[in-house]
Amino acid sequence: MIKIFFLFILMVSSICAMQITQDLSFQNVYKNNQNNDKLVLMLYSAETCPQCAYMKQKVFKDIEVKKFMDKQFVILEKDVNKDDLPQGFDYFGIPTMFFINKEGNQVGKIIGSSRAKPFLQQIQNIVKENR
Amino acid sequence: MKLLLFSIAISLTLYGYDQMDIDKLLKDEECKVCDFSNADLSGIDLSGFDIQESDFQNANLENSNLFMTELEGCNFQGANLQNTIFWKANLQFSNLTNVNAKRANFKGANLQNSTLKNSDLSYSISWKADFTDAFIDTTDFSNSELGDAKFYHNDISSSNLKGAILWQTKFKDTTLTFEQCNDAKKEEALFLENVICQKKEQ
Repeated sequence: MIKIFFLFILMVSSICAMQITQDLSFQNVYKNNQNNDKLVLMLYSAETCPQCAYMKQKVFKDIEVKKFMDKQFVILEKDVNKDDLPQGFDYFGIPTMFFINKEGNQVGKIIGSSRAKPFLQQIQNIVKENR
Repeated sequence: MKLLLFSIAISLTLYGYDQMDIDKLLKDEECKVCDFSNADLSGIDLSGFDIQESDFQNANLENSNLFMTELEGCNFQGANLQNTIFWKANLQFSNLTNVNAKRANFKGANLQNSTLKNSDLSYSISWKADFTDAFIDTTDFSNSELGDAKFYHNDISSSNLKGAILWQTKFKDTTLTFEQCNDAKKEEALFLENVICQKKEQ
């Protein structure tokens, strides 16, 4: 009886867990970008995370990085302390950046912060591998 | 006979650590002024333990977890600290001479008055670490993350900061090379007061 109860709970929780394609913000991001093949860069961050602030305020604003990101990605930011996080996108530390295609599949991941030049190299490689 | 005793004494010295100290550490989560020199403590979880004033000379702490560990006055000379987690650990007055701390995590660690000489901290993560009054000589911080860290009363000019994240890093009463100063300014480091930018000594 207990086993059946736990199995039922497990089934319900699996059904209730949000898939990335069911995430409203993910859907909106793609609705606004239907005519291009951009990947979604989903950034997990938090207000109290200096590495996240560095990436957003310094690295993402670097001329070369910005140029490449504007062309290749649409950004979706999730506050790990406030927002619902989609199933299957677990994180160990922040910032974590997931690169997701239209089907909702993860095609790349970057954990932590880095300076503009090595970061640009990393995102160029992710795009190259998925073209 | 003298030679035999001398050999035994030397081999005991080389062997280093005291197994009783290790047993005590794991049992009580505390071992002050203990001897762990040459010990293999790789991959071990010592988070929150109190191990101050202990000797870790030439010990292997690779991949170990020392999160919030009390390590004041410890000697890590020659230790292997690769990928070791020192997040929020207290390393005040510790000796980190000749350590290999590549990719180690010193996030929020207190390194005040510590000694870093010929040490490898490349690719390490040291956001918000406090290096106030640390003695820093020929240390490799290349590609490390030093954002929001504090460097007060240091001479970093003989060390390598190439490729390091220096965003909001605070420098006060610190000596840097011209190259380090220019790079730090580009990274939006904060030069609080009395920062000397000088020519690199050959």
